[in-house]
Amino acid sequence: VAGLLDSHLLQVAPLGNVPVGDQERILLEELLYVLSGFDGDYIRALPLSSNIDERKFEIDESVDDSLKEMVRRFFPILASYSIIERFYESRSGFDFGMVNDALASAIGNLVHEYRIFVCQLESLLLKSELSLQKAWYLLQPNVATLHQLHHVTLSLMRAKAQGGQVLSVLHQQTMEAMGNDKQQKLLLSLTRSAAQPYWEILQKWIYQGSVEDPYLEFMVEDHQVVSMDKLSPTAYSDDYWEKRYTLRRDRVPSFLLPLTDQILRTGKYLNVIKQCGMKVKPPKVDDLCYTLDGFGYKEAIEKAYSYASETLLHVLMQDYDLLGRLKSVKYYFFLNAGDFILHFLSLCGAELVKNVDDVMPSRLESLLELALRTSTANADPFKDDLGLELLSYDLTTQMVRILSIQTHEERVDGNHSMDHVRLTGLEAFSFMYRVRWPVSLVFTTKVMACYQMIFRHLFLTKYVENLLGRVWISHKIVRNYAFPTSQWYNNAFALRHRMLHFIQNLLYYITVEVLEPSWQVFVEKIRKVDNVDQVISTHMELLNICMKESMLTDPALLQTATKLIKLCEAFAHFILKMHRHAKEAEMGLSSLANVTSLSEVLLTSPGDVFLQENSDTFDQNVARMELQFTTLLADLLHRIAEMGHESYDSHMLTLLNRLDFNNYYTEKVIQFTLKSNQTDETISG
Amino acid sequence: MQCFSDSVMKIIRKRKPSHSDVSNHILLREILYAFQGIQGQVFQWDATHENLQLKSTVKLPKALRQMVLSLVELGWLFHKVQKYCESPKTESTCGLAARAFAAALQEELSKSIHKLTVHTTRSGDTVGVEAQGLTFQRLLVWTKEPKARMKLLAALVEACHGQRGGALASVIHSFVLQGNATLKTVVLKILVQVCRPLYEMLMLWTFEGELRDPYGEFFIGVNLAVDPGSLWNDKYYERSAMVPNFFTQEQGHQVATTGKSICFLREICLDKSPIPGLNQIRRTAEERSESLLSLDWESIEEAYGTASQYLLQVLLDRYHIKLHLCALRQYLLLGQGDFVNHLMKLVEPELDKPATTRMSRLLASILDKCIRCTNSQYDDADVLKRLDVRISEPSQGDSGWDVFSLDYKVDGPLGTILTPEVKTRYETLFYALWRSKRMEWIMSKLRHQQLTEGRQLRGLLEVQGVLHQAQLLLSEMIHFAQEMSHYLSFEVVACAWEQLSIALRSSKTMDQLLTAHEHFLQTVTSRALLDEESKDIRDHLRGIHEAMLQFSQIQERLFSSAILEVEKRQGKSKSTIETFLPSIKAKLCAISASYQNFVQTFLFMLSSHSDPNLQGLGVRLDFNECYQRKDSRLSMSLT
Repeated sequence: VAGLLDSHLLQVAPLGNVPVGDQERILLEELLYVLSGFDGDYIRALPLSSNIDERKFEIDESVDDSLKEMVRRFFPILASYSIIERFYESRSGFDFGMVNDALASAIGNLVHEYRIFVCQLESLLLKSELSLQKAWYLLQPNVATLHQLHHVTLSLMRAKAQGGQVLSVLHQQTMEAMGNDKQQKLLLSLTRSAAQPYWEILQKWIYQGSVEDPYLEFMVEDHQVVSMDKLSPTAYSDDYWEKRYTLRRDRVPSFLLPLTDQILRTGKYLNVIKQCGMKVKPPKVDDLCYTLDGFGYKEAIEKAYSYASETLLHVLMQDYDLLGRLKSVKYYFFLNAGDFILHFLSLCGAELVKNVDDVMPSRLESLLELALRTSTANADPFKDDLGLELLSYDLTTQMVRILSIQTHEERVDGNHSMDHVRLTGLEAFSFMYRVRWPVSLVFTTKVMACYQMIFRHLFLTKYVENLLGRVWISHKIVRNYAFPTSQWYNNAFALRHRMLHFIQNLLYYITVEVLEPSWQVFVEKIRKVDNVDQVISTHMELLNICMKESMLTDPALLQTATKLIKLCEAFAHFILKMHRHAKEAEMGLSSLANVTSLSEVLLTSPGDVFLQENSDTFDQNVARMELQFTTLLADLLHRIAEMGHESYDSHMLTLLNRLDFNNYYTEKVIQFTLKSNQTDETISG
Repeated sequence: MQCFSDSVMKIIRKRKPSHSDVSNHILLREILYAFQGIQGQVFQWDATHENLQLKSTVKLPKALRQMVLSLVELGWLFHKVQKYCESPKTESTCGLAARAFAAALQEELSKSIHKLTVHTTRSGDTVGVEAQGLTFQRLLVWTKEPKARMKLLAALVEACHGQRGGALASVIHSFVLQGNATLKTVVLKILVQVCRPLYEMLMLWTFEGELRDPYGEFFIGVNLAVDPGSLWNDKYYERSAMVPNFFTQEQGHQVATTGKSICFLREICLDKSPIPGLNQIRRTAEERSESLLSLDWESIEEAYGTASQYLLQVLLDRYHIKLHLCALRQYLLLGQGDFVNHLMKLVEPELDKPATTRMSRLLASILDKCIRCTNSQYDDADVLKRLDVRISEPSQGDSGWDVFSLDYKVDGPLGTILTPEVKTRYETLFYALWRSKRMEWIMSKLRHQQLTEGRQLRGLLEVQGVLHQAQLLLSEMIHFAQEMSHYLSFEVVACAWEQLSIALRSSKTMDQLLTAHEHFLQTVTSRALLDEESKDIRDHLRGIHEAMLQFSQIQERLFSSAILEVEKRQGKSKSTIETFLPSIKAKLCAISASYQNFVQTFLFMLSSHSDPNLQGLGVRLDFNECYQRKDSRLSMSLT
């Protein structure tokens, strides 16, 4: 093909043979062509090695020296034009997206003006009124424009910018041209034209919630695989929601960076509203336009956002009864209804003490349903959404894992230790609440996990309280025994009493002093909010406070508290077991001659997992438990006191006051330390 | 050939610019012709590349040659567009939209020809080029805009090749999304023109239910071979490829449903009256929208709502859909207790006989009798008229129980909801429910026998052991049969029916109604263990039922023989107790064992079933962990 083309070329003679005046005329003619981007015979463009190179030119050697110099002065203009033209050719059309296309078309218009100017030069030439010097002079006003365009296009091509990136680059350059009015005006108009398609996509998103972005330029990406209505409601999880619309940070124009989050959420909310079958009628404002200081578009975006957020809140509150939902969740997870939870405990108690692998979820499920329908919970319209779950880890492990998420090793340790632990049904048990779209927007998995943690803590405490109550009943019977036998139990009585005191106060503290007041504050706040984000953040705040005040967030505190509760549980089991044995022995007394008295049964305690030494007598066991209890409780009180000093807004000190209302433990600790000091001294002495 | 540089040479020589030399002038004129794809002295048509090429004799300086080639590119683009415009006119099958597209392109072409003509006349014939101000540079400036436009048209032509109807509109619409504002308006203009026929079709379909689409371009197709009963489901279908991409799926669906609703009203409900309010909506829609692009979706949505609502109203008020659905539940799904029990009592003697086709009439009269003496007599006359007995084709050895079912005759709009396929499903459900009911019935009869005839056997000490065994087994069976029956009627049918009634009340369109009904059937089918997943469980349930039937025969034999024995003893005849008792005992043991086995496997399968309701059933059947203690599989942990 090259050969064929060459045949069309006219062989030209070197220009040196021609008089200087004619040389100038010929050069001028050719220069006008070269200015329009064509390659000449005497002024030749050198080949490019890559698309973003600056083009070099050369002039015929034989030309008169001063003319040569004159022509060389035009070379930068030619180079600029070359790169602008290359940008125009490659970026207009569909390959580089709409923003580039719009920018190219704006640059095309500027180039068009420049070409008209070249035409004017041509007419001057035809009238023989043009010289190289005059052409140079006349071109001057265009040089600045061309230079500016050169700079812009080159940087865009170097960066291979597309979509939002183009706008970022343009914005950056417009900002930098602050001092130069003319330049800034030019850049401003370019940015405006380039931003136009972007605004259109943005408006579709913030006013209708749809992404119409065939060239992947917009900051929000829609990963719509299947349409929403084909999915079952369970698939509308928040996880799905997170994944459906993703933010592409690299495509955000720098001037929209502060608004990114709002923009993303506006469209998301509109989609939620639409999926709830509501009409979306956002406040229509004028078309958005790029401005240097963000005047206009910022306001419009904020308006759209507040519309979307408020409407969604309205939908959630009115049509989906969010407040009712919240109340319902609180009802179950914060043990709001005593009759329900006690009923449930008495139904499921036997099932829950089993090993978790032996617990039948379907049996629990039907018992839960029974408890729901035969208690005051029956009045709750959302009661069918309550379910239960058997988790594979207990509360402490979960909490520790969450808190130590930063350190990788600890997490590995946590996983490791988990395998060995065999959980009881009680430890693994938790309520579960099925929330449907779009309420799941508020009740995310994370939120539900928080609720579950609080619930599990409370549930265990409640269960142990219940257990200790049964111990109390059994003690009532023991009291009727004759004097020496009943004496056996005195220590156990005292310990039971202290444990009951502890558990009840703990429960009272968490429910009455933490959960309920925080809940009241939360409800007050939630009545006043005006968008969904506030609901979500207020809700999270509530949970955080509750978790912190319920001593869940401090691992050491939680572990101590859990240990205490577990100890109470072990004690209760121990006593109940003893009582059962005693009863059996009593009944067997008449028939079995070997067992002579009740005391013998008490002296030989049966093998129990919570007691290290099987051979220990009843009294010894009780004494050891008492010691453990006192140490742990002292430890707990000590920690609470420390915590109370550290933070000013904590209620935990009230628990301290309540547990140690008559300074019993303080004195005990003092005695204890004195004693140990004495022993230390005696040892050292 | 004289050329630019020659003239320059002349200038150099004579210092006289422009004149006498016409080569530049000719070149310019040739270029103007070349713009329209016409070849001449300088350019020739290259058929292989479909392009204009410079003749090899023409010699030009480098810069000029580049410029000329760049200018002539317009001619090539022009030719390409023109070729497309001319091709579809000859074929009538390519559709209205494609023809509209060609017309729109033609319009654009003429516009550019017009512009060029202005330039041509300006260049004149013999007048000096420079005097008229036409130079290559100026031509380049003038052609900038037309060239960009022509480039776009050429790209459109390329992309739209072979496309038609809605698909064509979609392709053109993909060009709307571009940054260049002027070109965007051009595309929009063309698109509006292309969509005009589609717009007319859409309006006609949406508001009249009429499909006027001679070339199959619209996104709704019709299947004429379909019988009227399945008009709603099968007659009209959506051609997804033809839905313009600026419609959402839902919008397309709304349009399709609106027209279909009107068709359904006209053809199936025979309701020719205009749908109230629809004309008003049409007027507003026409006022507000000019083309398919600016279609007023609010009006369409309103039309969709109105048509659907009206159709539903007609179905509910005139055709009493709810009443018939209720009747199906009452009779086919055994919701009406007194009727079912009475029917069971009346048909039992007949159905115990081997099945024949002739029993149909007798059974129909029994049904009639049954209706008259139960509360069903107060039911709607229309419902009772439709209720009938169905005897399916009996095969060898079938008893009446295997072929008997109730039938509900439907016609007209009802036939759309209760298609033959749906009716078959109802029939399957009836068999299952009827069977379970029959088991309960038999079990209570056996209990009755044990209580009444058992008294006569008090004196017969030898049979007391067997009798006790039978009582134990029967208790188990009664528990099972009653729980099953209770589960089916309350947890399955009643719960699903509750959901269906809620859905019926809230449904606004025919489709919602159909989906709700479908959901109802599906729930009932899967929970009644009639779906694919539960095939194995179903077999075990059948085994249990078989065991019950066998047990019933054995007990019959036991009692008849035992009573005979008592009579014999009273009459001092020879005792025959040794002849029947051991065999009955053995059989009873065998049945008891196989029954236990079946139940345990059944429970085990239930506990691993995916449906929590069925798991719950398992828990209830084994409420006191009686089976769990017997079978280690059941107490095995699930985790």
